[in-house]
Amino acid sequence: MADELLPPDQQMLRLHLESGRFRSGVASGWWRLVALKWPYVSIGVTARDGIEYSFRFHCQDYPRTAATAQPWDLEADCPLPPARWPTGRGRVVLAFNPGWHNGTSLYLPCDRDAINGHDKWRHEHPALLWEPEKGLCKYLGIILELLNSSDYGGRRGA
Amino acid sequence: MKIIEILLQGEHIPDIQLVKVDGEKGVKELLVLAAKHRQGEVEGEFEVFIEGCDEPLKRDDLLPESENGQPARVHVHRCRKIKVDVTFNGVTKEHSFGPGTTIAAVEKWAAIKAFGMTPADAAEHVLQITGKTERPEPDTHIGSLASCPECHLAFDLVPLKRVEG
Repeated sequence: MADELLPPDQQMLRLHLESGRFRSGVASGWWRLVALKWPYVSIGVTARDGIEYSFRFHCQDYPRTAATAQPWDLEADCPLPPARWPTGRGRVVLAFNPGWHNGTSLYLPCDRDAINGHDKWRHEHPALLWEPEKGLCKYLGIILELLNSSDYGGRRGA
Repeated sequence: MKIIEILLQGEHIPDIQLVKVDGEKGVKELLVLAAKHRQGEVEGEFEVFIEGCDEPLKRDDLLPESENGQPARVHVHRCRKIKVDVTFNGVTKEHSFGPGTTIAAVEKWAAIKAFGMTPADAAEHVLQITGKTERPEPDTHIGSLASCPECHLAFDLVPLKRVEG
């Protein structure tokens, strides 16, 4: 199907995946597109220890509505088992919490599911909110920062 | 004709632009291309900088080859230098950088060299534009945040906070 026949949310997602901002992250070795199967897109993000964590983003109504991301096992094509989630001392373990929301979302202000019921985050963490014009690149940048922080401590089960 | 990809940033150019140019063309052609991505009418003499380089390319230079199959990173700006002020705990340090310097490089200078943090502590801090909540991404060139003739930026170096509650 030609792009112009796609609904606007799919068109916008494709535009963002082809953007200079996304390509810059790929060129830096920060992230890579793994698969696009609407309404999901899977993207691998590299941590400072070289481990690549994959995240499956649900992108319905993109980018007007924020995406929600779940750590994903690409080989088994299923949610990543909790023992293989990233962990850390403070910020990382709070953001990547398999016990929250049944592990279907990250605990971050930029996440569609997590922001619900957390209105105070809008003034506590304005820099971490979803920005439609940046879309997935904003969310990926926040994940990348966490996985490359001093706080990050590898996989939970390692 | 060999087409090369360039990740272009610059004064009045929104975000990072992926542009395709004839690899046998040079700086003059890139300046024409950059003007098309610029927002608004802007007058003055623009220069082309390779990312991280303080000196601009000469008008007759060819464009840089891409490395490892990835696009080259280039910046177009009227300022030769951007004066950057970074404030941390009430103390302000300043330094001048080329406009094609990344936020990551300025952050490293500020945290480690100017304020004496360890690399581990530096990784728990980030640059935030003074008076705003905006924290530019590490691959953003500082020149894309500054205009001529001011050629000046001010940041706060702020700690990264836990998201909880």
